[in-house]
Amino acid sequence: MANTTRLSRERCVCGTATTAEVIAGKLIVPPDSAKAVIVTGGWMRATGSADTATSVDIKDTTDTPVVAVAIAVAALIDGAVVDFDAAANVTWTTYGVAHTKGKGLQILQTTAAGGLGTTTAVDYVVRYILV
Amino acid sequence: MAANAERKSRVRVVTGNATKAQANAGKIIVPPVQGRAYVVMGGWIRALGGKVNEATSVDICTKTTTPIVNVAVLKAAALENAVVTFDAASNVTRTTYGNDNAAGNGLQILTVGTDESTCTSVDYCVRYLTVGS
Repeated sequence: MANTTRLSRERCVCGTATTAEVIAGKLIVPPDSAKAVIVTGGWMRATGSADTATSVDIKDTTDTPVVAVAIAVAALIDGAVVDFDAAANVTWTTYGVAHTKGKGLQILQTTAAGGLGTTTAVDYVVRYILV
Repeated sequence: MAANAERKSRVRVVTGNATKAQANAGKIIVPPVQGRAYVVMGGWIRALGGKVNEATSVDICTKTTTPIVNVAVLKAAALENAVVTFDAASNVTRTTYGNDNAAGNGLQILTVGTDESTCTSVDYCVRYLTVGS
């Protein structure tokens, strides 16, 4: 949005999502009816290299989830930390920009072929602000 | 920062967007507060509507008569829609980065060199600490 400035305290959520949770979608920031979420940074780390899926994403909780940031599986190699600000294999969609008020965040795969394969879990750290 | 100095503080963040006119003129993103110093310790920028083409760099710097550069992202990296982290290995110059600015100085986003005319605006996310009252 042109000419905006938001001063805020940065929050952080970190954890691990199992493969099943990433496939189904795991809620990581619950919705707040009065707040909008802005993702400002973070990283992911797969345990076991990701394959089959297209990407592992941080998305909002709308019925058709809006991607904040997507990490292509090519980068999700066993044990490798992939920063959301990396120069390759990261897609910033609604990144640094407010999602719809009242929507939370989830970690959720995007796939055209059934789901994560050899990965057993994905660690995540997501920095965000609420406005 | 003096040798063996240490700052423990809550991280604050400012996010937003500056039009090219604002970036050319300098847009205050963290207002000055008397007695308070800011320490820039992370963040990123992203050019929208085109790459940064005319300006030499897009800087986060103090809002002073002679701005003190905290971090400068060179135009070679500031491509359209590309998030450029301040910690990138190339095309980023970190001057007063992780160090105290002078107390009472605010922060601005500012283009350096020729006024930018290709990109339409710049998103920014700047992490910083405050030191002092």
